[in-house]
Amino acid sequence: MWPIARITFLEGIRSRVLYGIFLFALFVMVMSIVFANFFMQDIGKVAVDFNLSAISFAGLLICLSVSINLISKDLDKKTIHFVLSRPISRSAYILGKFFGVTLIVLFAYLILTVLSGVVLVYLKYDSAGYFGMFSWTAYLQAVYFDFLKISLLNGIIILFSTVTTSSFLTMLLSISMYVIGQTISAVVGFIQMQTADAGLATSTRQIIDILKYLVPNFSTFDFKVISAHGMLISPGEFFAFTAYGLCYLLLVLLASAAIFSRKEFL
Amino acid sequence: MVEIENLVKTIRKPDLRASRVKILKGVSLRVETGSITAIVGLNGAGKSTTIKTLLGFIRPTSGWVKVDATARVGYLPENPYYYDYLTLRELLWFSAKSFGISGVEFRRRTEQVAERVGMSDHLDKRLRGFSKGMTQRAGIAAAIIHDPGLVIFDEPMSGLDPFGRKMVFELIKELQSDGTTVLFCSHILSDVERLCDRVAILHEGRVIRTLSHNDLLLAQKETEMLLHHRPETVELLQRCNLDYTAEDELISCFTDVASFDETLKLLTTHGIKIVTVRSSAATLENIFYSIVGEKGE
Repeated sequence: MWPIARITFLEGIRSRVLYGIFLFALFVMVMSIVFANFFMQDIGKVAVDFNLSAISFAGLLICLSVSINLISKDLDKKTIHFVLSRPISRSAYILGKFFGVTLIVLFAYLILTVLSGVVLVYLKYDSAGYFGMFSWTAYLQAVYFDFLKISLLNGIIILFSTVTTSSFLTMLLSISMYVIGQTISAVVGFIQMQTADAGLATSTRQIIDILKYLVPNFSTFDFKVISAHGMLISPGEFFAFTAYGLCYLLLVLLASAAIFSRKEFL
Repeated sequence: MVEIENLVKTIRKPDLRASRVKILKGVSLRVETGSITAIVGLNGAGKSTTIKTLLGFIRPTSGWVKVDATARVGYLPENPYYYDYLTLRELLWFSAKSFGISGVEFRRRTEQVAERVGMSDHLDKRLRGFSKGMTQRAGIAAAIIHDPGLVIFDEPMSGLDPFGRKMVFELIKELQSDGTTVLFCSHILSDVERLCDRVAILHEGRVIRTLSHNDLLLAQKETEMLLHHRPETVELLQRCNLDYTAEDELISCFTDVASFDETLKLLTTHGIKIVTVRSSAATLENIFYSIVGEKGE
Protein backbone atom coordinates (compact mmCIF):
# COMPACT_ATOMS: atom_id res chain seq x y z
CA MET A 1 0.00 0.00 0.00
CA TRP A 2 2.81 2.44 0.93
CA PRO A 3 4.50 2.35 -2.53
CA ILE A 4 1.16 3.21 -4.17
CA ALA A 5 0.45 6.00 -1.68
CA ARG A 6 3.92 7.46 -2.21
CA ILE A 7 3.83 7.53 -6.00
CA THR A 8 0.26 8.92 -5.92
CA PHE A 9 1.46 11.70 -3.62
CA LEU A 10 4.56 12.46 -5.73
CA GLU A 11 2.54 12.43 -8.95
CA GLY A 12 -0.13 14.66 -7.40
CA ILE A 13 2.04 17.35 -5.84
CA ARG A 14 3.98 17.80 -9.09
CA SER A 15 0.80 18.37 -11.06
CA ARG A 16 0.62 21.93 -12.38
CA VAL A 17 -3.12 22.02 -11.65
CA LEU A 18 -2.31 21.96 -7.94
CA TYR A 19 -0.17 25.09 -8.24
CA GLY A 20 -3.00 26.81 -10.12
CA ILE A 21 -5.36 25.94 -7.26
CA PHE A 22 -2.86 27.28 -4.70
CA LEU A 23 -2.55 30.55 -6.59
CA PHE A 24 -6.32 30.88 -6.86
CA ALA A 25 -6.79 30.22 -3.12
CA LEU A 26 -4.02 32.69 -2.31
CA PHE A 27 -5.69 35.30 -4.51
CA VAL A 28 -9.03 34.80 -2.67
CA MET A 29 -7.25 35.04 0.71
CA VAL A 30 -5.52 38.28 -0.23
CA MET A 31 -8.80 39.62 -1.58
CA SER A 32 -10.36 38.93 1.81
CA ILE A 33 -8.22 41.80 3.15
CA VAL A 34 -10.02 44.13 0.75
CA PHE A 35 -13.51 42.65 1.07
CA ALA A 36 -13.47 42.31 4.86
CA ASN A 37 -13.03 46.07 5.12
CA PHE A 38 -16.43 46.55 3.47
CA PHE A 39 -18.05 45.09 6.60
CA MET A 40 -16.78 47.41 9.29
CA GLN A 41 -18.20 45.77 12.41
CA ASP A 42 -17.81 42.25 11.10
CA ILE A 43 -14.30 42.33 9.65
CA GLY A 44 -13.20 39.41 11.85
CA LYS A 45 -16.19 37.20 10.99
CA VAL A 46 -16.07 37.98 7.27
CA ALA A 47 -12.30 37.42 7.11
CA VAL A 48 -12.58 34.04 8.83
CA ASP A 49 -15.51 33.00 6.64
CA PHE A 50 -13.70 34.16 3.49
CA ASN A 51 -10.47 32.32 4.31
CA LEU A 52 -12.20 29.13 5.37
CA SER A 53 -14.25 29.22 2.16
CA ALA A 54 -11.05 29.65 0.12
CA ILE A 55 -9.50 26.57 1.80
CA SER A 56 -12.69 24.57 1.36
CA PHE A 57 -13.05 25.54 -2.30
CA ALA A 58 -9.39 24.70 -2.96
CA GLY A 59 -9.97 21.28 -1.38
CA LEU A 60 -12.97 20.73 -3.61
CA LEU A 61 -10.98 21.74 -6.70
CA ILE A 62 -8.21 19.30 -5.72
CA CYS A 63 -10.82 16.54 -5.52
CA LEU A 64 -12.28 17.42 -8.89
CA SER A 65 -8.94 17.77 -10.66
CA VAL A 66 -6.62 15.23 -9.01
CA SER A 67 -8.83 12.56 -7.42
CA ILE A 68 -11.25 12.20 -10.33
CA ASN A 69 -8.43 11.06 -12.64
CA LEU A 70 -6.65 9.01 -10.02
CA ILE A 71 -8.06 5.60 -10.91
CA SER A 72 -9.83 6.27 -14.21
CA LYS A 73 -6.53 7.40 -15.77
CA ASP A 74 -4.82 4.21 -14.59
CA LEU A 75 -7.62 2.16 -16.15
CA ASP A 76 -7.80 4.22 -19.32
CA LYS A 77 -4.03 4.26 -19.98
CA LYS A 78 -3.66 0.62 -18.80
CA THR A 79 -1.14 1.63 -16.11
CA ILE A 80 -3.18 -0.64 -13.87
CA HIS A 81 -1.60 -3.65 -15.62
CA PHE A 82 1.86 -2.44 -14.65
CA VAL A 83 0.81 -1.81 -11.05
CA LEU A 84 -1.17 -4.99 -10.43
CA SER A 85 1.45 -7.25 -12.00
CA ARG A 86 3.45 -6.56 -8.84
CA PRO A 87 2.56 -8.27 -5.55
CA ILE A 88 0.04 -5.57 -4.70
CA SER A 89 -3.50 -6.63 -3.87
CA ARG A 90 -6.40 -4.73 -5.35
CA SER A 91 -7.52 -3.61 -1.87
CA ALA A 92 -4.00 -2.30 -1.21
CA TYR A 93 -4.19 -0.43 -4.52
CA ILE A 94 -7.47 1.25 -3.49
CA LEU A 95 -6.19 2.12 -0.01
CA GLY A 96 -2.86 3.29 -1.43
CA LYS A 97 -4.59 5.61 -3.87
CA PHE A 98 -6.82 6.96 -1.10
CA PHE A 99 -3.97 7.61 1.32
CA GLY A 100 -1.89 9.12 -1.49
CA VAL A 101 -4.56 11.64 -2.37
CA THR A 102 -5.28 12.25 1.33
CA LEU A 103 -1.60 13.15 1.78
CA ILE A 104 -1.89 15.60 -1.13
CA VAL A 105 -4.97 17.22 0.48
CA LEU A 106 -3.25 17.28 3.88
CA PHE A 107 -0.20 18.91 2.33
CA ALA A 108 -2.40 21.48 0.55
CA TYR A 109 -4.44 22.19 3.71
CA LEU A 110 -1.29 22.71 5.78
CA ILE A 111 0.04 25.26 3.30
CA LEU A 112 -3.31 26.99 2.84
CA THR A 113 -3.92 27.12 6.61
CA VAL A 114 -0.53 28.77 7.13
CA LEU A 115 -1.18 31.25 4.30
CA SER A 116 -4.67 32.09 5.59
CA GLY A 117 -3.16 32.40 9.08
CA VAL A 118 -0.76 35.06 7.78
CA VAL A 119 -3.68 36.97 6.22
CA LEU A 120 -5.70 36.73 9.46
CA VAL A 121 -2.75 37.84 11.60
CA TYR A 122 -2.34 40.87 9.34
CA LEU A 123 -6.06 41.72 9.52
CA LYS A 124 -6.10 41.15 13.27
CA TYR A 125 -3.16 43.50 13.69
CA ASP A 126 -4.73 46.07 11.33
CA SER A 127 -8.25 45.95 12.82
CA ALA A 128 -7.69 44.55 16.31
CA GLY A 129 -10.93 46.04 17.62
CA TYR A 130 -13.09 43.93 15.35
CA PHE A 131 -11.49 40.54 16.12
CA GLY A 132 -12.92 40.21 19.63
CA MET A 133 -14.63 36.87 18.97
CA PHE A 134 -11.81 35.34 16.96
CA SER A 135 -10.35 32.05 18.19
CA TRP A 136 -7.52 30.11 16.56
CA THR A 137 -8.84 26.87 18.04
CA ALA A 138 -12.26 27.46 16.46
CA TYR A 139 -10.55 28.29 13.18
CA LEU A 140 -8.49 25.07 13.23
CA GLN A 141 -11.62 23.13 14.24
CA ALA A 142 -13.32 24.32 11.03
CA VAL A 143 -10.23 23.44 8.93
CA TYR A 144 -10.08 19.97 10.52
CA PHE A 145 -13.72 19.18 9.73
CA ASP A 146 -13.36 20.54 6.21
CA PHE A 147 -10.38 18.23 5.72
CA LEU A 148 -12.53 15.35 6.97
CA LYS A 149 -15.27 16.34 4.51
CA ILE A 150 -12.84 16.44 1.57
CA SER A 151 -11.36 13.07 2.60
CA LEU A 152 -14.86 11.60 2.60
CA LEU A 153 -15.49 13.12 -0.82
CA ASN A 154 -12.24 11.55 -2.02
CA GLY A 155 -13.45 8.19 -0.76
CA ILE A 156 -16.71 8.64 -2.65
CA ILE A 157 -14.83 9.63 -5.83
CA ILE A 158 -12.75 6.45 -5.50
CA LEU A 159 -15.95 4.41 -5.06
CA PHE A 160 -17.43 5.87 -8.26
CA SER A 161 -14.11 5.34 -10.08
CA THR A 162 -14.35 1.63 -9.34
CA VAL A 163 -17.91 1.48 -10.67
CA THR A 164 -17.28 3.31 -13.95
CA THR A 165 -14.17 3.72 -16.10
CA SER A 166 -15.28 7.12 -17.43
CA SER A 167 -13.77 10.05 -15.55
CA PHE A 168 -16.61 12.29 -16.80
CA LEU A 169 -19.22 9.99 -15.27
CA THR A 170 -17.20 9.77 -12.06
CA MET A 171 -17.12 13.56 -11.90
CA LEU A 172 -20.85 13.84 -12.60
CA LEU A 173 -21.78 11.30 -9.93
CA SER A 174 -19.35 12.78 -7.39
CA ILE A 175 -20.59 16.35 -7.91
CA SER A 176 -24.19 15.13 -7.61
CA MET A 177 -23.35 13.35 -4.37
CA TYR A 178 -21.55 16.43 -3.07
CA VAL A 179 -24.51 18.69 -3.86
CA ILE A 180 -26.93 16.21 -2.24
CA GLY A 181 -24.67 15.90 0.81
CA GLN A 182 -24.36 19.66 1.20
CA THR A 183 -28.11 20.32 0.91
CA ILE A 184 -29.68 17.23 2.50
CA SER A 185 -29.93 18.81 5.96
CA ALA A 186 -31.65 21.90 4.57
CA VAL A 187 -34.03 19.81 2.46
CA VAL A 188 -34.96 17.57 5.40
CA GLY A 189 -35.43 20.65 7.60
CA PHE A 190 -37.69 22.19 4.98
CA ILE A 191 -39.81 19.02 4.70
CA GLN A 192 -40.13 18.80 8.48
CA MET A 193 -41.14 22.46 8.65
CA GLN A 194 -43.73 22.08 5.89
CA THR A 195 -45.26 19.03 7.51
CA ALA A 196 -45.09 20.38 11.05
CA ASP A 197 -48.81 21.25 11.04
CA ALA A 198 -49.76 17.81 9.75
CA GLY A 199 -48.00 16.30 12.75
CA LEU A 200 -45.73 13.59 11.40
CA ALA A 201 -45.58 10.32 13.29
CA THR A 202 -42.51 9.90 15.49
CA SER A 203 -41.39 6.90 13.43
CA THR A 204 -41.59 8.94 10.21
CA ARG A 205 -39.51 11.69 11.79
CA GLN A 206 -36.93 9.14 12.87
CA ILE A 207 -36.78 7.64 9.36
CA ILE A 208 -36.22 11.10 7.87
CA ASP A 209 -33.48 11.76 10.46
CA ILE A 210 -31.76 8.47 9.63
CA LEU A 211 -32.02 9.17 5.89
CA LYS A 212 -30.28 12.47 6.51
CA TYR A 213 -27.17 10.56 7.55
CA LEU A 214 -27.43 7.68 5.10
CA VAL A 215 -26.30 9.88 2.24
CA PRO A 216 -22.98 11.53 3.13
CA ASN A 217 -24.15 14.55 5.06
CA PHE A 218 -21.39 16.99 4.12
CA SER A 219 -23.13 19.91 5.80
CA THR A 220 -22.39 18.18 9.13
CA PHE A 221 -18.75 19.13 8.65
CA ASP A 222 -19.40 22.79 7.86
CA PHE A 223 -18.23 24.82 10.84
CA LYS A 224 -17.43 28.06 9.05
CA VAL A 225 -20.20 30.11 10.71
CA ILE A 226 -19.53 28.69 14.18
CA SER A 227 -15.82 29.32 13.73
CA ALA A 228 -16.44 32.91 12.53
CA HIS A 229 -18.13 33.49 15.89
CA GLY A 230 -15.16 31.95 17.67
CA MET A 231 -17.28 29.13 19.09
CA LEU A 232 -16.15 25.58 19.82
CA ILE A 233 -18.31 22.47 19.77
CA SER A 234 -18.40 20.14 22.76
CA PRO A 235 -15.90 17.23 22.89
CA GLY A 236 -18.83 14.83 22.58
CA GLU A 237 -19.99 16.46 19.35
CA PHE A 238 -16.40 16.63 18.11
CA PHE A 239 -15.95 12.86 18.50
CA ALA A 240 -19.43 12.07 17.19
CA PHE A 241 -18.88 14.03 13.95
CA THR A 242 -15.37 12.60 13.56
CA ALA A 243 -16.69 9.07 14.12
CA TYR A 244 -19.49 9.65 11.58
CA GLY A 245 -16.99 10.82 8.95
CA LEU A 246 -14.50 8.01 9.59
CA CYS A 247 -17.15 5.25 9.71
CA TYR A 248 -18.72 6.48 6.48
CA LEU A 249 -15.27 6.65 4.90
CA LEU A 250 -14.42 3.13 6.05
CA LEU A 251 -17.63 1.75 4.53
CA VAL A 252 -17.03 3.60 1.26
CA LEU A 253 -13.45 2.26 1.03
CA LEU A 254 -14.56 -1.29 1.86
CA ALA A 255 -17.22 -1.10 -0.86
CA SER A 256 -14.64 0.30 -3.32
CA ALA A 257 -12.20 -2.52 -2.53
CA ALA A 258 -14.95 -5.15 -2.90
CA ILE A 259 -16.07 -3.79 -6.29
CA PHE A 260 -12.50 -3.37 -7.52
CA SER A 261 -11.58 -6.93 -6.52
CA ARG A 262 -14.22 -8.28 -8.89
CA LYS A 263 -13.24 -6.04 -11.79
CA GLU A 264 -11.56 -7.36 -14.95
CA PHE A 265 -8.89 -5.33 -16.73
CA LEU A 266 -8.98 -6.16 -20.42
CA MET B 1 6.91 -22.85 -14.87
CA VAL B 2 3.68 -21.87 -16.65
CA GLU B 3 0.82 -24.11 -17.67
CA ILE B 4 -2.24 -22.96 -19.56
CA GLU B 5 -4.92 -25.55 -20.18
CA ASN B 6 -7.91 -25.19 -22.47
CA LEU B 7 -8.35 -21.51 -21.69
CA VAL B 8 -11.63 -19.99 -22.85
CA LYS B 9 -12.59 -16.36 -22.42
CA THR B 10 -15.86 -14.85 -23.50
CA ILE B 11 -16.52 -11.14 -23.11
CA ARG B 12 -19.53 -8.95 -23.57
CA LYS B 13 -19.17 -6.42 -26.38
CA PRO B 14 -19.69 -2.85 -25.24
CA ASP B 15 -22.61 -2.32 -27.62
CA LEU B 16 -26.29 -1.87 -26.90
CA ARG B 17 -27.14 -5.51 -27.56
CA ALA B 18 -24.29 -6.61 -25.26
CA SER B 19 -23.55 -9.51 -27.60
CA ARG B 20 -20.92 -11.99 -26.47
CA VAL B 21 -17.67 -12.68 -28.24
CA LYS B 22 -15.26 -15.53 -27.60
CA ILE B 23 -11.71 -14.17 -27.53
CA LEU B 24 -9.96 -17.36 -26.42
CA LYS B 25 -11.34 -20.66 -27.68
CA GLY B 26 -9.28 -23.20 -25.76
CA VAL B 27 -5.66 -22.06 -25.51
CA SER B 28 -3.25 -24.64 -24.13
CA LEU B 29 0.42 -23.86 -23.63
CA ARG B 30 3.34 -25.00 -21.48
CA VAL B 31 6.36 -22.84 -20.73
CA GLU B 32 9.33 -24.83 -19.44
CA THR B 33 11.53 -23.43 -16.70
CA GLY B 34 14.54 -21.59 -18.11
CA SER B 35 13.17 -21.45 -21.66
CA ILE B 36 12.34 -18.57 -23.97
CA THR B 37 8.84 -18.97 -25.36
CA ALA B 38 7.05 -16.64 -27.73
CA ILE B 39 3.41 -16.28 -28.61
CA VAL B 40 2.95 -14.96 -32.13
CA GLY B 41 -0.23 -14.13 -33.94
CA LEU B 42 -2.13 -11.47 -35.81
CA ASN B 43 -3.73 -8.51 -34.04
CA GLY B 44 -6.74 -9.77 -32.12
CA ALA B 45 -5.51 -13.37 -32.06
CA GLY B 46 -5.70 -13.41 -28.25
CA LYS B 47 -2.02 -13.00 -27.30
CA SER B 48 -2.48 -10.16 -24.82
CA THR B 49 -5.68 -11.71 -23.42
CA THR B 50 -3.78 -14.93 -22.72
CA ILE B 51 -1.09 -12.99 -20.86
CA LYS B 52 -3.65 -10.90 -18.95
CA THR B 53 -5.40 -14.08 -17.84
CA LEU B 54 -2.06 -15.50 -16.77
CA LEU B 55 -1.42 -12.43 -14.63
CA GLY B 56 -4.90 -12.48 -13.10
CA PHE B 57 -6.17 -9.26 -14.69
CA ILE B 58 -9.08 -11.18 -16.19
CA ARG B 59 -10.85 -14.35 -15.10
CA PRO B 60 -11.09 -17.27 -17.52
CA THR B 61 -14.58 -18.36 -18.56
CA SER B 62 -13.28 -21.92 -18.41
CA GLY B 63 -9.93 -23.69 -18.34
CA TRP B 64 -7.08 -22.84 -16.00
CA VAL B 65 -3.68 -21.26 -15.74
CA LYS B 66 -0.91 -22.23 -13.36
CA VAL B 67 2.21 -20.19 -12.63
CA ASP B 68 4.98 -21.50 -10.38
CA ALA B 69 4.28 -19.83 -7.04
CA THR B 70 7.98 -19.28 -6.39
CA ALA B 71 8.45 -17.26 -9.59
CA ARG B 72 8.59 -13.54 -8.95
CA VAL B 73 6.99 -12.33 -12.14
CA GLY B 74 8.34 -9.33 -14.02
CA TYR B 75 5.90 -7.89 -16.53
CA LEU B 76 6.24 -5.36 -19.33
CA PRO B 77 2.84 -4.29 -20.69
CA GLU B 78 2.22 -3.49 -24.36
CA ASN B 79 2.66 0.24 -25.07
CA PRO B 80 3.25 1.01 -21.41
CA TYR B 81 2.16 4.30 -19.91
CA TYR B 82 3.65 5.22 -16.56
CA TYR B 83 3.18 8.16 -14.23
CA ASP B 84 4.28 11.28 -16.12
CA TYR B 85 5.60 13.29 -13.20
CA LEU B 86 7.73 10.51 -11.70
CA THR B 87 11.41 10.14 -12.47
CA LEU B 88 12.80 6.83 -13.70
CA ARG B 89 14.44 6.32 -10.29
CA GLU B 90 11.07 6.76 -8.56
CA LEU B 91 9.41 4.32 -10.97
CA LEU B 92 12.13 1.79 -10.22
CA TRP B 93 11.74 2.48 -6.49
CA PHE B 94 8.04 1.67 -6.77
CA SER B 95 8.77 -1.52 -8.64
CA ALA B 96 11.51 -2.64 -6.27
CA LYS B 97 9.67 -1.62 -3.09
CA SER B 98 6.58 -3.60 -4.07
CA PHE B 99 8.87 -6.65 -4.11
CA GLY B 100 10.34 -5.71 -0.74
CA ILE B 101 13.64 -4.34 -2.05
CA SER B 102 14.85 -1.07 -0.55
CA GLY B 103 17.89 0.78 0.79
CA VAL B 104 21.37 -0.12 -0.40
CA GLU B 105 20.12 -3.11 -2.37
CA PHE B 106 17.66 -0.90 -4.26
CA ARG B 107 20.39 1.62 -5.11
CA ARG B 108 22.70 -1.14 -6.33
CA ARG B 109 20.03 -2.73 -8.50
CA THR B 110 18.86 0.62 -9.87
CA GLU B 111 22.31 1.43 -11.21
CA GLN B 112 22.66 -2.11 -12.53
CA VAL B 113 19.35 -2.30 -14.47
CA ALA B 114 19.64 1.28 -15.72
CA GLU B 115 22.99 0.41 -17.24
CA ARG B 116 21.61 -2.82 -18.65
CA VAL B 117 18.89 -0.98 -20.58
CA GLY B 118 21.10 1.99 -21.47
CA MET B 119 19.28 4.52 -19.27
CA SER B 120 21.94 5.40 -16.68
CA ASP B 121 21.95 9.05 -17.74
CA HIS B 122 18.19 9.36 -17.43
CA LEU B 123 17.58 8.04 -13.92
CA ASP B 124 16.60 11.42 -12.47
CA LYS B 125 14.62 12.67 -15.45
CA ARG B 126 10.84 12.68 -15.46
CA LEU B 127 9.09 10.06 -17.57
CA ARG B 128 7.01 12.85 -19.13
CA GLY B 129 9.95 13.80 -21.34
CA PHE B 130 10.77 10.25 -22.47
CA SER B 131 10.38 9.08 -26.07
CA LYS B 132 8.46 5.88 -26.82
CA GLY B 133 11.67 3.88 -26.96
CA MET B 134 12.94 5.33 -23.67
CA THR B 135 9.60 4.55 -22.01
CA GLN B 136 9.91 0.98 -23.28
CA ARG B 137 13.43 0.73 -21.81
CA ALA B 138 12.17 2.19 -18.52
CA GLY B 139 9.42 -0.44 -18.47
CA ILE B 140 11.92 -3.22 -19.09
CA ALA B 141 14.10 -1.94 -16.24
CA ALA B 142 11.08 -1.86 -13.92
CA ALA B 143 10.19 -5.41 -14.96
CA ILE B 144 13.58 -6.91 -14.14
CA ILE B 145 14.79 -4.89 -11.14
CA HIS B 146 13.73 -7.62 -8.68
CA ASP B 147 15.57 -10.46 -10.50
CA PRO B 148 12.38 -12.22 -11.57
CA GLY B 149 12.13 -15.96 -12.09
CA LEU B 150 9.62 -15.44 -14.86
CA VAL B 151 9.56 -12.48 -17.22
CA ILE B 152 6.53 -11.72 -19.35
CA PHE B 153 7.04 -9.14 -22.07
CA ASP B 154 4.15 -7.96 -24.22
CA GLU B 155 5.67 -6.68 -27.48
CA PRO B 156 9.10 -5.82 -26.01
CA MET B 157 10.54 -4.60 -29.33
CA SER B 158 7.66 -2.19 -29.94
CA GLY B 159 8.79 1.41 -30.44
CA LEU B 160 12.50 0.58 -30.26
CA ASP B 161 15.14 1.64 -32.78
CA PRO B 162 17.59 -1.00 -34.13
CA PHE B 163 19.95 -0.41 -31.17
CA GLY B 164 17.06 -0.81 -28.75
CA ARG B 165 15.96 -4.02 -30.43
CA LYS B 166 19.49 -5.37 -30.22
CA MET B 167 19.59 -4.44 -26.53
CA VAL B 168 16.31 -6.28 -25.83
CA PHE B 169 17.48 -9.25 -27.88
CA GLU B 170 20.70 -9.53 -25.87
CA LEU B 171 18.90 -8.85 -22.59
CA ILE B 172 16.47 -11.73 -23.19
CA LYS B 173 19.40 -14.02 -23.95
CA GLU B 174 21.19 -12.84 -20.78
CA LEU B 175 18.05 -13.38 -18.70
CA GLN B 176 17.87 -16.93 -19.97
CA SER B 177 21.50 -17.58 -19.15
CA ASP B 178 20.79 -16.28 -15.62
CA GLY B 179 18.09 -18.96 -15.34
CA THR B 180 15.08 -16.73 -15.92
CA THR B 181 12.12 -18.08 -17.86
CA VAL B 182 10.97 -15.69 -20.58
CA LEU B 183 7.53 -15.56 -22.19
CA PHE B 184 6.82 -12.85 -24.71
CA CYS B 185 4.52 -11.75 -27.52
CA SER B 186 5.95 -10.24 -30.65
CA HIS B 187 5.12 -9.37 -34.20
CA ILE B 188 8.75 -9.37 -35.26
CA LEU B 189 9.09 -12.95 -36.48
CA SER B 190 12.78 -12.76 -37.38
CA ASP B 191 13.64 -11.93 -33.75
CA VAL B 192 11.33 -14.66 -32.45
CA GLU B 193 12.97 -17.16 -34.77
CA ARG B 194 16.46 -16.35 -33.52
CA LEU B 195 15.59 -16.01 -29.82
CA CYS B 196 13.13 -18.69 -28.87
CA ASP B 197 13.20 -22.26 -27.74
CA ARG B 198 9.52 -22.58 -28.43
CA VAL B 199 6.94 -20.63 -30.40
CA ALA B 200 3.17 -20.89 -30.13
CA ILE B 201 1.25 -19.58 -33.12
CA LEU B 202 -2.06 -18.21 -31.93
CA HIS B 203 -4.85 -17.63 -34.39
CA GLU B 204 -8.43 -16.65 -33.66
CA GLY B 205 -8.16 -17.65 -30.01
CA ARG B 206 -6.46 -21.03 -30.47
CA VAL B 207 -2.88 -22.28 -30.49
CA ILE B 208 -2.79 -23.76 -33.96
CA ARG B 209 0.86 -24.81 -33.97
CA THR B 210 3.72 -25.05 -31.54
CA LEU B 211 7.23 -24.98 -32.96
CA SER B 212 10.06 -26.59 -31.03
CA HIS B 213 13.67 -25.40 -30.82
CA ASN B 214 14.63 -27.79 -33.63
CA ASP B 215 11.79 -26.56 -35.85
CA LEU B 216 12.98 -23.01 -35.29
CA LEU B 217 16.62 -23.79 -35.97
CA LEU B 218 15.65 -25.58 -39.14
CA ALA B 219 13.42 -22.68 -40.18
CA GLN B 220 16.26 -20.31 -39.48
CA LYS B 221 19.18 -22.29 -40.88
CA GLU B 222 17.27 -24.15 -43.60
CA THR B 223 19.39 -27.35 -43.44
CA GLU B 224 19.68 -30.01 -40.73
CA MET B 225 22.33 -32.75 -40.73
CA LEU B 226 21.75 -35.70 -38.42
CA LEU B 227 24.97 -37.12 -36.94
CA HIS B 228 25.77 -39.92 -34.49
CA HIS B 229 26.08 -38.65 -30.92
CA ARG B 230 29.79 -38.98 -30.06
CA PRO B 231 31.94 -36.83 -27.73
CA GLU B 232 34.40 -35.91 -30.51
CA THR B 233 31.52 -34.73 -32.71
CA VAL B 234 30.16 -32.51 -29.92
CA GLU B 235 33.65 -31.15 -29.32
CA LEU B 236 34.12 -30.31 -33.02
CA LEU B 237 30.71 -28.62 -33.28
CA GLN B 238 31.46 -26.55 -30.19
CA ARG B 239 34.93 -25.66 -31.45
CA CYS B 240 33.60 -24.54 -34.82
CA ASN B 241 30.71 -22.66 -33.16
CA LEU B 242 28.01 -24.49 -35.11
CA ASP B 243 24.34 -24.61 -34.07
CA TYR B 244 23.29 -28.03 -32.88
CA THR B 245 20.96 -29.87 -30.55
CA ALA B 246 21.90 -33.21 -29.03
CA GLU B 247 19.58 -36.06 -28.14
CA ASP B 248 20.27 -39.59 -26.88
CA GLU B 249 21.75 -41.10 -30.03
CA LEU B 250 21.66 -38.35 -32.60
CA ILE B 251 22.86 -34.80 -33.00
CA SER B 252 21.10 -32.29 -35.24
CA CYS B 253 23.52 -29.83 -36.79
CA PHE B 254 21.96 -26.79 -38.46
CA THR B 255 23.49 -24.73 -41.26
CA ASP B 256 22.22 -22.30 -43.80
CA VAL B 257 22.49 -22.94 -47.54
CA ALA B 258 25.51 -20.68 -47.97
CA SER B 259 27.67 -22.59 -45.50
CA PHE B 260 26.31 -26.08 -46.20
CA ASP B 261 29.22 -27.18 -48.43
CA GLU B 262 31.80 -25.86 -45.99
CA THR B 263 30.18 -27.63 -43.01
CA LEU B 264 29.84 -30.85 -44.98
CA LYS B 265 33.53 -30.70 -45.89
CA LEU B 266 34.51 -30.01 -42.28
CA LEU B 267 32.54 -33.00 -40.98
CA THR B 268 33.81 -35.44 -43.63
CA THR B 269 37.43 -34.26 -43.14
CA HIS B 270 37.11 -35.19 -39.46
CA GLY B 271 35.63 -38.55 -40.35
CA ILE B 272 32.16 -37.82 -39.01
CA LYS B 273 29.48 -39.78 -40.80
CA ILE B 274 26.26 -38.06 -41.71
CA VAL B 275 23.14 -40.14 -41.07
CA THR B 276 20.81 -37.99 -43.13
CA VAL B 277 20.21 -34.46 -44.33
CA ARG B 278 16.91 -32.57 -44.10
CA SER B 279 16.22 -29.24 -45.70
CA SER B 280 13.56 -26.63 -45.24
CA ALA B 281 12.85 -23.58 -47.34
CA ALA B 282 10.36 -22.46 -44.73
CA THR B 283 11.36 -19.62 -42.43
CA LEU B 284 9.17 -18.90 -39.43
CA GLU B 285 7.65 -16.12 -41.49
CA ASN B 286 6.69 -18.58 -44.23
CA ILE B 287 5.37 -21.10 -41.71
CA PHE B 288 3.36 -18.36 -39.99
CA TYR B 289 1.86 -17.03 -43.21
CA SER B 290 1.03 -20.47 -44.53
CA ILE B 291 -0.74 -21.48 -41.28
CA VAL B 292 -2.52 -18.21 -40.67
CA GLY B 293 -3.35 -17.76 -44.37
CA GLU B 294 -4.68 -21.31 -44.61
CA LYS B 295 -6.87 -20.88 -41.53
CA GLY B 296 -7.95 -17.45 -42.59
CA GLU B 297 -9.25 -18.63 -45.94
